[in-house]
Amino acid sequence: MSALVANLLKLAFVGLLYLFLWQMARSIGGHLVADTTSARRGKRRVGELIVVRSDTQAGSRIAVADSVVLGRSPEADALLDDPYASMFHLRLTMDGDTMSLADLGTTNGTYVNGRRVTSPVVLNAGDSVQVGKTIMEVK
Amino acid sequence: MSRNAEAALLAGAAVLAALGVSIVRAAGGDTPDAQTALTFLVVGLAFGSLHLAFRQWAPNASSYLLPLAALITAVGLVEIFRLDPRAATLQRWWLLIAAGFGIATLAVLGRFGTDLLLRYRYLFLTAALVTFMLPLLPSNWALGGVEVNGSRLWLQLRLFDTTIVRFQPAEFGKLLLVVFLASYLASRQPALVSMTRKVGPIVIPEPRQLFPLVVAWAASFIVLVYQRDLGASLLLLAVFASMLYAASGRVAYPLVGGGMFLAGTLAAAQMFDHVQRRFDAWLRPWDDFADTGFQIGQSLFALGSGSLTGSGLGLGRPDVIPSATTDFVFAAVAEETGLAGSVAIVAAYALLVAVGFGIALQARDPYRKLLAAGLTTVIGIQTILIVGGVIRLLPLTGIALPFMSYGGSALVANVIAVVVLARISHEVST
Amino acid sequence: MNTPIRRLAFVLLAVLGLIVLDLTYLQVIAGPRYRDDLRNPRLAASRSSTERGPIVSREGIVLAESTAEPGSGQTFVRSYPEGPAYAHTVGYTSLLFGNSGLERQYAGELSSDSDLTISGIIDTLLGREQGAQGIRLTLSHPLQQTAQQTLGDQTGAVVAIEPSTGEVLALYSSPSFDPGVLLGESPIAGDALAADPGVPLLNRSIDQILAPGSAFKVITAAAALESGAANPDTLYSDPLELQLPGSTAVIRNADRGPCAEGTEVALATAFRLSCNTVFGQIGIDVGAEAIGSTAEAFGFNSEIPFDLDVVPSVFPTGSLIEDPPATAQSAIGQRDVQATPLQLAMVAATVANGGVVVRPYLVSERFDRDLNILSQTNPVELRRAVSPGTAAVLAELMEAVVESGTGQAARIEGVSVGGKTGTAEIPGEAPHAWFIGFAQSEERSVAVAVVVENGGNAGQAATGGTVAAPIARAVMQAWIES
Repeated sequence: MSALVANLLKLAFVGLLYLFLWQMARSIGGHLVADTTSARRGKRRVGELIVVRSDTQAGSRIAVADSVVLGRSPEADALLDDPYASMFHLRLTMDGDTMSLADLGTTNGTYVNGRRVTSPVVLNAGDSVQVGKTIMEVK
Repeated sequence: MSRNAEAALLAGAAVLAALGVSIVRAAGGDTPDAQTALTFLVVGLAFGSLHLAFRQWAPNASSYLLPLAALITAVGLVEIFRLDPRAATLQRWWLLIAAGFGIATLAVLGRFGTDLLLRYRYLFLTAALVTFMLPLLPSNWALGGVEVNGSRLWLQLRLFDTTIVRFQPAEFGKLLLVVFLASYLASRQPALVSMTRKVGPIVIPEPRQLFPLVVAWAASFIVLVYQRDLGASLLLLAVFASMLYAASGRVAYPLVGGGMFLAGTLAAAQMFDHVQRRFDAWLRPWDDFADTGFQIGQSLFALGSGSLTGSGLGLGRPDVIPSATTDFVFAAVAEETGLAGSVAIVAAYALLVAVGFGIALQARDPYRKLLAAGLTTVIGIQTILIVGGVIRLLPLTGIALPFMSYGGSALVANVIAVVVLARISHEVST
Repeated sequence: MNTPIRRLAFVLLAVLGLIVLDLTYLQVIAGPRYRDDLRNPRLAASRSSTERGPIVSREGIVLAESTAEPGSGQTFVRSYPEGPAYAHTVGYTSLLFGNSGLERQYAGELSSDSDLTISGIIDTLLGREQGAQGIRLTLSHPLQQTAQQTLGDQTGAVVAIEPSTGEVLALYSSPSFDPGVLLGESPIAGDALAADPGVPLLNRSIDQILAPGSAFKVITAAAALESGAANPDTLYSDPLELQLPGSTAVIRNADRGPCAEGTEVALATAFRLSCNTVFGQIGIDVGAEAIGSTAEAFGFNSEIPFDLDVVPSVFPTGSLIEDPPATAQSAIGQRDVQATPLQLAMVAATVANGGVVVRPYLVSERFDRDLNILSQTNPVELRRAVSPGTAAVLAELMEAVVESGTGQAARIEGVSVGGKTGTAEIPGEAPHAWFIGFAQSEERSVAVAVVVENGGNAGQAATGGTVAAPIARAVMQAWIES
């Protein structure tokens, strides 16, 4: 192989590497800028649920900042003292002003306004959330 | 970037791999042969099928992950082929296996969501600890540990006196531990931030909150020290400290973690000869060049000989570097592609790390944020440890360079990590 | 939680940035050091697989060549047929001991592996074969041999220059060595050379500065003449010893007597007989600054542009101002004045060339495999050191030294020869014997500097006139008669 060909191939390989990276870097750069602007889009609020019916917890309040997991486990963020609740039962998430709920695949399920939750749902003020015998209300 | 652009870039990576293999053949005076075609096909097949799996189970996932992984894998395959064509053949099989594992993982996550991992956190912790301990199984068992180069990291399956397969379970243990940490820290995050106890002037979290963490860390750390793998201990500690910091926002965790590690390594340097030798080689490589300094010396010669544009693929002498296909693969690439190539590779890792953290920033809940940040940290810290070691910025630790080093277990684990990251980025928008 | 994650990302990316910086340092800035490290196995592989071009003398005698190892065809062996005569100048290229001399300075041209130069990249891109080039030296074989024979086993150096062009005709340092012993695979012979107390590896013609003694009086005289304060007939008092002002020290002549009759003496006579008392006084009269600027015009206190690195010769002007005793001693080439033989040969050449300093050079041309000349070196006039008038007067003064003064041993029948002897006193050791001068016939001219350290075979009895002048004569004659 002549020196010329060797050098051209060498440059071609590295050149292709950089072409590839350039394509990536260009769109990733734009992507990250978009991300930082969306991240600044306003502060997250803290939502709240009030336990309206429970054997032991009636009247207590559950604050929801960022994300909170409710369950029967002492390791859950907020305790659900209900024999029908799973160890980790459901997740509440605040995104801006919007609170959403996801059931963590439990046996007995989670009911919002009487309807069993199958995929994440958005909660509005006044909605009722039922787990086993426990009923909570969104403030 | 669209999924179609992703597909185009993946095809580009396959072309790059084929071009590289052809250049290596040409440098040896040969014409492109079946190796070129096989490399093109395997890279294309592995990443192409992962791409299709993305379309099926994570259509909204970040489209940057796969092309970056493919690019690094392609360059790694070329250099491994250049150094040891037989190893390249094996690595191609491993790439296909890794793609299979990646697709399976994605299929499971696609069906049950990432929350699945959240539900079985202690199962993951147990599994992680078991994988770390597997190499300690007696080596005469059918499934037993093997000691290589003074470190007991390998598990091998032997049937009828033939070694069927060898792998490093710790590669998977790292991922399992990250999954546990993410779910544990996410659920404990408010406690870590708010519940504090004062010890004199220092504010520390409630010890009860940290107890499982300390147990997990100590157990894995002790096992790793026992297996004599400095690099993996360093990696685990860094990942622990990083994730604790990400969850709590308190710099004290990484500081205390760093202090503990420093104390640990100094003690290890006193107790274990092989750790002491690593430090000697790092600080004074030329003093005992013929012995401890030989590896790092050969690596520096390779880097210096590479200069600006390198010797050209197949035209350098990376074969004189010990462990050139594994620990020192970066030095081999740097010799043959020069500073131009080595900086491109580091840039590819930097982009991968940036994308990973970008996914963490956008993830929809603390659990996913921590999982994404943890997986990215594992990839980033491994890169820094081994590249830093090869260029003598850090003491040399035997760690695989993600996606590039020859080695099946690491490749499989890294593909799984990328797949989980992808699924997390997909779930942002659902 | 996003803030700590951002910081974490920043830290990891910053470390990756640090890695890029370190890579730049290792691969480009410190790269050549690692690449050329003797322990780098790539070196042996590439050196012996590339052919190096030959180095030949002025007459075409082969001084260094590569020959293919029988049978292999791909590995080449370097050899130095003339051995010690050219060892310091030609140098060597050894796997164990690195490169030296022209083999080092012209490594790029000789091995044509300089792929980092722009022209090299262009040539490679255009597919132009960069075959190994050869270089022809200005060194003349008869002169080099004469220098080697006449110095014999004495420690010293000989430099000969063509005054009008700057071609270096001889550059020899004794003791020398056989570069061949450094080429083998065993370091034993080379280590012994490096440890030899005679320091044979040192190139005494350019890498070592010594007190020039009275040879420096050429410069002192030049400074006096240039200042206009003196001419050859200017009379100076002729004391038995020169009492140095403001000190108890005295300057005496070599024979401890007066210069001439003990009353008054002309500058020309004092130069011819090399009288320290008179030149000490001239030094005080002219002053350190004038002598210093004249010395610098001749090339002192700066690097001489040359094919090899030359240690700069020293005239410490600054420390002498307002110190007349030190100035007097410096004016006769003692105290802290120190010069390389090459520098003093250039002084003699400048005088013979009418006062113009010419750049000395060793490589006259580069040629390719087919002996086509690729480039030729043209003479370069660096600057005027003294006026043509002063140069002419200096030449006459120096011719008188050889005709009827201290340098009569350098006389060649039928040839105009000028010179100046020097006997530099070294406390506790035998003196260094110097002779610098020139010879001019109808067709040819040559300037030389010879030093024999510590008196050579003559020991304490040595003077420049008895020990160095005959060697200079032989070398000059070899050129004039060749």
